Amino acid sequence: MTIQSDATELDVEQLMLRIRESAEKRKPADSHSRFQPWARAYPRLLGRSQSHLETDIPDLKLSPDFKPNKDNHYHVNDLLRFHDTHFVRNAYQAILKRDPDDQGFKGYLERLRSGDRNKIDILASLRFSAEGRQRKVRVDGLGLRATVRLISRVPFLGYFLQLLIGVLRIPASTRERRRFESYSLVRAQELADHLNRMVGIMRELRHLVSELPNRIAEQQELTSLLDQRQQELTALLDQRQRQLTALVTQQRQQLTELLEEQQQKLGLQEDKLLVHGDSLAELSESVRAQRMLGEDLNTRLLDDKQDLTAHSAEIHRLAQAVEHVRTQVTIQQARTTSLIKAIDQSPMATPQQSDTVRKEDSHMLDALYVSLEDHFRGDRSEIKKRLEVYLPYFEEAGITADILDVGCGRGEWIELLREKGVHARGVDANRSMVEQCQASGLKVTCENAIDHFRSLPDSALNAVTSFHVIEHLGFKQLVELIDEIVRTLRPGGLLVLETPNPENIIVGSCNFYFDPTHCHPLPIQTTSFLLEAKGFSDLKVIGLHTLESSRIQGKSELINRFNEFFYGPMDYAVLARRN
Amino acid sequence: MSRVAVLTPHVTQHDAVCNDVFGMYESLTRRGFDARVYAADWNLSETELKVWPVSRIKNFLQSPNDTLIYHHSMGWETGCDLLAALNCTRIIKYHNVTPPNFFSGWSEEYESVCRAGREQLRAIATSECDAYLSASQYNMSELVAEGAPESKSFVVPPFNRTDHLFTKEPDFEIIDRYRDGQTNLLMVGSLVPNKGHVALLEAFAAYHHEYKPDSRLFLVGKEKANLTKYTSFLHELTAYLGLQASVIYTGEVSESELKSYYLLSDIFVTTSEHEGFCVPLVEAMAMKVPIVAFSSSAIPETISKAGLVWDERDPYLFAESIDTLINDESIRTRMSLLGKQRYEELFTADKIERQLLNAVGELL
Repeated sequence: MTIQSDATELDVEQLMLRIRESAEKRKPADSHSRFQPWARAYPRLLGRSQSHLETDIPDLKLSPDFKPNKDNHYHVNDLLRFHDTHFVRNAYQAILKRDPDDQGFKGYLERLRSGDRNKIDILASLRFSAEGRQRKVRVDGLGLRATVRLISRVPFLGYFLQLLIGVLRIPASTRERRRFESYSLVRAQELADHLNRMVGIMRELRHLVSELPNRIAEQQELTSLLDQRQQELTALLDQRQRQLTALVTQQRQQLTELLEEQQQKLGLQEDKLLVHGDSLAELSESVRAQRMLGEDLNTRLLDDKQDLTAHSAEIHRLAQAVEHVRTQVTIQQARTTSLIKAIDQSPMATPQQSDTVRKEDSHMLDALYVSLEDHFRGDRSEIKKRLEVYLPYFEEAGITADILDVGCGRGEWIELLREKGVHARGVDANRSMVEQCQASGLKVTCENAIDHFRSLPDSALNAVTSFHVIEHLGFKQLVELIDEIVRTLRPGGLLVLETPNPENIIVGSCNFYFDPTHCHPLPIQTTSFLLEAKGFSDLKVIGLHTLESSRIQGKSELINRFNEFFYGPMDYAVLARRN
Repeated sequence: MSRVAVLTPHVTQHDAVCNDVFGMYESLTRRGFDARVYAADWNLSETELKVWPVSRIKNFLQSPNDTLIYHHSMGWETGCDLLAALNCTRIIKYHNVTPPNFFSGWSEEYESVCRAGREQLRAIATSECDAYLSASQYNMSELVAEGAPESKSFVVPPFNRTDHLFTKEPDFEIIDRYRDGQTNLLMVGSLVPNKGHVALLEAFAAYHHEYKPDSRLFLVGKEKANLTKYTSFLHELTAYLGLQASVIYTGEVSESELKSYYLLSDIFVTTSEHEGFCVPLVEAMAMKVPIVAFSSSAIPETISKAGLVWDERDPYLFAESIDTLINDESIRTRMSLLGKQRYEELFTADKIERQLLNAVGELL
């Protein structure tokens, strides 16, 4: 079979019509009766059983009810509908308006049953008795029939009359006989039904009766159990009551004790309160004094504020003056530069003079560089804080002296080491910076670094450090510097070089060029290679100054890479040991 | 962000109203609302969702811009009082209340709770709420007949956990036990008198005895503690119809077990007499189980053309329907596809969320 996947093709209505048709065909003719027994069982299953005992069974009546007419007027057929005892009783009720007396009832019944008299005779006898005439009840159709019956009782003539009436009544009699037949059949059926119902009741009763001993036994058991429970409960109740009484007594006693104790404590508290009252007064006195003091301070603060305003005006004035001086210096520098150039080019200048002039020329930009450094590198304490990262390496190596910081700048590192009790010297070519260092009592020489190294003997140093220097050097100068360091470091001596990290894209493409004296960026691999090539080992590279706060939050690969490239370490340091 | 309290009397697991409550809560939270579920009592084990006691609701809904969504499914005095007392945006979600006469003779407690729920319906419909949401058109017409304004009435189907059925691993023990070549029929719903189990058992009897003796019927659903009279009646009727070996009463089941029964079953049959929506029909459609049902209350509306829906409960009509579907794989497949289509068009969490926001998005 191929399955069509297009669901919309299914015509549900058509399908339902088809199902209905085949259900009708398939449905057995007696389907209703098949479900009938279940349906009939429901009341029992539902627990709403209709027991014979609960349903009202009407009294069995073989003749209709009789009610005496109020107008004392009947048709004889009204009374002839009844039979036997009912007939006699109803005839009495209708004609004499009373229940039959015992004698009359029995007499009429006997004669009726023997066939000696028929119903007309009895009705006539009642109606035309002295009592009947007195009641004056009208019974239509009775007179004629009674007369005929009376005549038929006359000897001989009566016989023929009866014969004649008998022959004439044959069709009517036949009809009556048929009616009677069916009547008796109906009655018999009613009787049978009634009997069946009674048998049902009997059966249920028998069942109930057979159950009774069990029920009684159950009840007895339950009763005895209940008795037992009651006794137990009574005992328990007694016990609980006793416990409760004891508990209440105990609680009351405890409460009394507690109350007394509390009262005592209350007394004590009152005493304390009195004492506190006194100290409160003292306190409020001191508060008043404090408030006065506060007011006094306030006044003084106001004075100070005025002073401050005056000072800040002064500072502003000074700043303007500094600005003026700076302009003047720039102008003087320009003049000096042109003067130096003029001297240098003058044929009159001796070689010695020219050398001095040239040296002086190299220092022309010193002041400018100091302010550049101030602007971009950060303040002194911040730099010292950053440099603390190297201290553990020096501690670990046990180096406490003979350290040279190349390009020591403002001397933060040497100062930091001095604070830790370690002796270090510095060398820097910038005269302004060297002056600053010397002013703070640091051992710093103003000299070109390579010249300074050349003045040192072999293996004279335990460590050489250089922060943000090598990127200022051309390749040739850099190799020369490393060679000198190798020579002057003792074997096992420590070298620390810090320089901007071009792996950080922002540094490599932009920040590096904040400083126009920078030559070119040095990737980690280049620096490492140079050092290893020149005789250093145990190289350790540390990434520094990561921009944690700017990193993008998240965990995707893209975010990771972005953070690495843009906010990774801005600087790096190589630590190495001389072989 | 404005606050939304979703309020319902009781929270229990595996209950259609509660699934709607939580679905609504999750949807609103996803949309950035500060939503919370409030109830008088709760009984949760599988989920970690937090339910707040109703006594704290006034601390949460303080501003007139906050919103109360009250789920009406039974008589609850506290809910009605709160509805009258709170000064905030008020929204009703009507799940329908079973007419009390279904419980008459079975449980007086249920009867009285349902009667109270029916009586409160009028009060709620005329309490001038800002919106009236109904699980079905059938429910909505009841609300409108009780006096709710038609302009503020909307049909929003209940959120259901059908999508969880897709991801849950089925209980393979059950599948192994019943995957034996017999035809499996399924009805899901707790054993309560309005679900019309008598007619279902009759229909199954006709099918089992006269069409295919190799068949069984799963009745998946909780047997309620205070309806033991009804439950034992059903068991007795099952035995009376000669079906005790072929009707499986599973009792309450986990989602894994429920999935197994949907996977095992060839046809979903229901002769329920009163449903405000009937979530199991949605589950059957989603799980591609064709449906044969009696057309009462909201059932024809939920199924639409995606199943056989009969106006009468003639056992032979149902038996014949089952037989036709079992014997014609093509019809069965196409019918289950119709069901799946209907589920995806109307009853996924996304679609229901959209209907909810279309109705009340501007009020929140």
